[in-house]
Amino acid sequence: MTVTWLRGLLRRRRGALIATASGIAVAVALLASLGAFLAASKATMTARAASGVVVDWQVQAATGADPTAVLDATRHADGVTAALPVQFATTDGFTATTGGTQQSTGAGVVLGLPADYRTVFPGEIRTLSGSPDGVLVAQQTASNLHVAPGDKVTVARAGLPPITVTIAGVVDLPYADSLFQKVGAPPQSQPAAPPDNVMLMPATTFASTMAPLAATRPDLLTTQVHVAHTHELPPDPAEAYIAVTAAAHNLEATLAGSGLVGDNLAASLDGARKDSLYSQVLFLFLGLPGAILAGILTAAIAGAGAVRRRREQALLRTRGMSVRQVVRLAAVEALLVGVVGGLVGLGVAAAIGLFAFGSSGFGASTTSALSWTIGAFVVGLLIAVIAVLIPTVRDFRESTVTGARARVRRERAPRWMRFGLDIILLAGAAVMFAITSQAGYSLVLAPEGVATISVSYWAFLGPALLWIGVALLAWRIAYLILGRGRPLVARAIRPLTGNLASTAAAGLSRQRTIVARAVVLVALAVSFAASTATFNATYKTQAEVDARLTNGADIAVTQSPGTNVGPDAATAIASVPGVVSVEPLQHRFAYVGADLQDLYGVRPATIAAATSLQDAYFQGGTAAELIGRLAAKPDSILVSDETVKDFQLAPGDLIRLRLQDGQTKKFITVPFHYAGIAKEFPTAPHDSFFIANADYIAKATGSYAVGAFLVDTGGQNTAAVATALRDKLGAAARVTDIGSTRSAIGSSLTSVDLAGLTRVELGFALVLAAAAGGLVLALGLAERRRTFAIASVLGATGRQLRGLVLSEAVIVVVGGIIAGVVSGWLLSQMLVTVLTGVFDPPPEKLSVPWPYLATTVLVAALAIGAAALMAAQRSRRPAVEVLRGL
Amino acid sequence: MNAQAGTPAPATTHTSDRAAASGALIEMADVALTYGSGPTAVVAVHGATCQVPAGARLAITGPSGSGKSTLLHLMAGLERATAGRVSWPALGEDPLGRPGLVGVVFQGPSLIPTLDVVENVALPLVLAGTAARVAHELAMDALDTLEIDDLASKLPDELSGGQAQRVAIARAMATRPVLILADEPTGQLDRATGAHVIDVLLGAADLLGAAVVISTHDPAVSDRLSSRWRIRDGVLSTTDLSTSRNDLGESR
Repeated sequence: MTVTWLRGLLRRRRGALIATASGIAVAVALLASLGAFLAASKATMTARAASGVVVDWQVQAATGADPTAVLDATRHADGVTAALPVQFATTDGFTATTGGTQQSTGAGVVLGLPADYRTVFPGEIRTLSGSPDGVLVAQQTASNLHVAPGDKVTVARAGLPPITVTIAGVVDLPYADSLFQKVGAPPQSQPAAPPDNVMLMPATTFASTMAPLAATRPDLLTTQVHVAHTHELPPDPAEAYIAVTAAAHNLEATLAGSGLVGDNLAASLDGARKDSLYSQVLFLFLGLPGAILAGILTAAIAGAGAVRRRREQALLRTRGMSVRQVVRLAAVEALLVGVVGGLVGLGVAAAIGLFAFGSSGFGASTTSALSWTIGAFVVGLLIAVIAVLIPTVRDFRESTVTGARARVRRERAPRWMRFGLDIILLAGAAVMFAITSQAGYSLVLAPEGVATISVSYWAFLGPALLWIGVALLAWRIAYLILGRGRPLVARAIRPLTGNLASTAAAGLSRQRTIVARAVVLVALAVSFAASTATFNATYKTQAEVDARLTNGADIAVTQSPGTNVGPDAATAIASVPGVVSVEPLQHRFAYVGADLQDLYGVRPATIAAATSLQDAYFQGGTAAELIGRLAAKPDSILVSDETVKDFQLAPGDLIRLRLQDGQTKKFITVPFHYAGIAKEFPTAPHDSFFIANADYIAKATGSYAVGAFLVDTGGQNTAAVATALRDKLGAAARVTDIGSTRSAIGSSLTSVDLAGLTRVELGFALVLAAAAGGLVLALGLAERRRTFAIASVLGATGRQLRGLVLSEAVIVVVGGIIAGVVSGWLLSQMLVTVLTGVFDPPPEKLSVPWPYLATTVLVAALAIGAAALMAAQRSRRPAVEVLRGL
Repeated sequence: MNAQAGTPAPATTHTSDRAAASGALIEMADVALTYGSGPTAVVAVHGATCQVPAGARLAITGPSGSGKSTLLHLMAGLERATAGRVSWPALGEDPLGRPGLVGVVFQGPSLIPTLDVVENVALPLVLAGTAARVAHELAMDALDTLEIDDLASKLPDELSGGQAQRVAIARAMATRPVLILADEPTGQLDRATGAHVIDVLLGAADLLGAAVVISTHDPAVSDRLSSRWRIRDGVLSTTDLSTSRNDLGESR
């Protein structure tokens, strides 16, 4: 019997089965694709975080401990691939005599490195000039001492006579922060900046020059073991972090107090795991609604044939079949569409993976691949059960055979509508929105250095409640208009239906549940497309803003610390082909009380043209207003929010900063007046800084020294122009272009590359919009072939039939799109608010991708129009089997 | 074989001229309808030639699958002949082109489930261009005539089989047709209800002066009509069975 039934289904209901299986395939493909994205992006984050670390661990031998024993224990620790001893000695300063003048520095650090250090830890030391071997000095030290390779430098030794060494090369230490960290100290106790004066020596030179300090001042000598740890880590950054941290703790336990581990690898993974959580959150916020929508769509497609199925099942029961047997047949149908849809979905996902992510696998590792494949497939089966099997079982519970045979029942408002569920959900969404909008709210909590990380999953409630609430409200409105607003509907569709308007409105009114459902489905699809596209566009815009904020402009030319380059150097930069304009930006350090903060001197008239200043960067006025205040009153200063709070500042308050005088190099007091708050500024750090008028600073300090030049290339050929500038300026300045900054900050907060996800989601959103509109209407109309056949037999002309069908289509399109656009806009606002932690800086306004949205609306409308016209065409001359059924 | 229902006529090669002259409602000339093609083709009607005059009371009888419904569909213009010619001399053109001139009553439930009874009855009038309000009044008149005006606000799924068929008859007569074609109108009804439906149908036709053609395999129905044709395996025999039986009776 089962086989006969299946065969019959395949022969007679092929279209409906294919449509249902397609809905399941879309849901499975979407889930599997997003799963692939999630797994792949997590693995990428781990790999990126690990590759950004050169020295994975710095194990510092405790005072009095045997460094050889520490080295030996470290070499034998799990996961350690290489370990080398590095010695540190503190010096009172360096002295050099060049060009007839003697320069001295303050305290510095001398490192003793083994011969193979640069081979084991490539990238830790970058040679700028001279030889890579021998005694090397850091760039800033060379600059302070005015030395070059071949010059001699005297190193002071506490309690011992100074020694003189010949400089072989000048180097840059890109990872100076971690190299000179205070091992074992918490992040807040780490030094604010690495030492200014650094000298590197071969271990043998160190042994003969600095090691003798052990006899007089052993406290000035320390030994660290620098470790390369395996980078074969769990793909999830959180797991990798736990694994690496545990290994470090294990080593510390082994060392039993003789050494502390400075875990650079874990510190890097610590940041990545937060990004990983955000990617998981993005998946849930942006991906799940699509999969749920595909599931609802499938249920709607299956539901379009519900009346017919109910009648067939009622017939089977009247012919003596038991409820269990009928349910079994429905289960077989569910299994068939579930399995076929699931397999097709996985195939589609593999193809999408290949196209969008460059891999057809469903995850980074075999385990995640398997779990995503099985998970997505199981969801497909669940949708089949919900769409096909559960309605059958529910029908048996709630209806009689006679009732089941009825085609149209008296409409009664659903229970949720009577209880006002939509209003309750929207109120809940409003409450959640208010909570998540509050300052200090954080979606992802990943305290630095703590293994436990958490996502505030409550935040999901806001968008979820809004999505469902708006959908149900749209349902209620459509239901009410079609039911109570029948004259209104008749008037609206009169241009299409002529004098059939009242009849058509009456028919629509009695099917208002079906029509309202189609309206809601279109609304959900449009809303999904609109909110996803808007969110992604806003994200992309903000990532660009972030890159621009970090780099300052298309290209930033940052002067080496200690150099004194005036604004005139802009001429040399402007002469490079491709440079449109150059804006000098002063960068100084200023003391406010005991705090040292960055001070940026800007030219108010031209700064806005050189870089993008968003209103969101400022508080207490727009960007133009606050920069204008700097021009109007040159002693105005913009300060950070934190400083305003710390010093209880009110507009106009006097702030005395201590700045270094250009001539005397001594700190002098310069008065400023507080004029507003700057939260962000191009090239400035996140925490606290000042913005002031460049001319005022220059006059007060007697120095026009520029910290950086912001170069505008009009967004064209930035990489090529940057290369040309590097060639022209040499090692004197650091040239960074926005492209490399974009990829460099890719490993920070905005590390989740949404490009693949966006392509997949927007593609699916289009498919869902078309399917929601076209397929649901087409299947609904197909179910009513009989109605159209009767109308045709009674003399309906092609035009009249077309009018009947199109009037329904227009209601679905107009209602669905209006509700979808409103819902999409609200959802976008909600998503951007809830996911505000993803954005850095927060967006000023939503970026709406109009072309994509217009395409979505057009596709949905076209699909609906095509479905309606095809239905009308088919009804013009009823099929023989329909006539036979009359 | 050529024939004219109600008034048996000799075979003639100029049937159309004569039909037009005599006001024939339907004229079929060697009409065939074949479903499909090749070896699986099914010939539903084959070589049917006949005329249905105004005011006819005609039963088309035959076993299930003999082609009764197909013949009625051809007469109503719902299906197109694959051979021969069907014309409606007194109507001027295809009945589908001029809605309301031919009323059709089907065997099964043929009311539109989303419209209530009065809307269903008014539908052909509205489709023919009558203003909605006028159509509603005429539909109520039709229901009143058949004494089922109390059903006006009910939905089709709230009606019994007999009630639904009476509403279908009311719908067929609402446009005051000149011809009512009924395809086994009592096929899904019990005998008593069926008899009542036929009473209503014939009463309505009398009232309108319309011709009635009913396909049926129920002798109780066919006996109520003055002319009876027979169809078997798609071949129509227009020899009036009522006359033949009388002839046979007389010769005995």
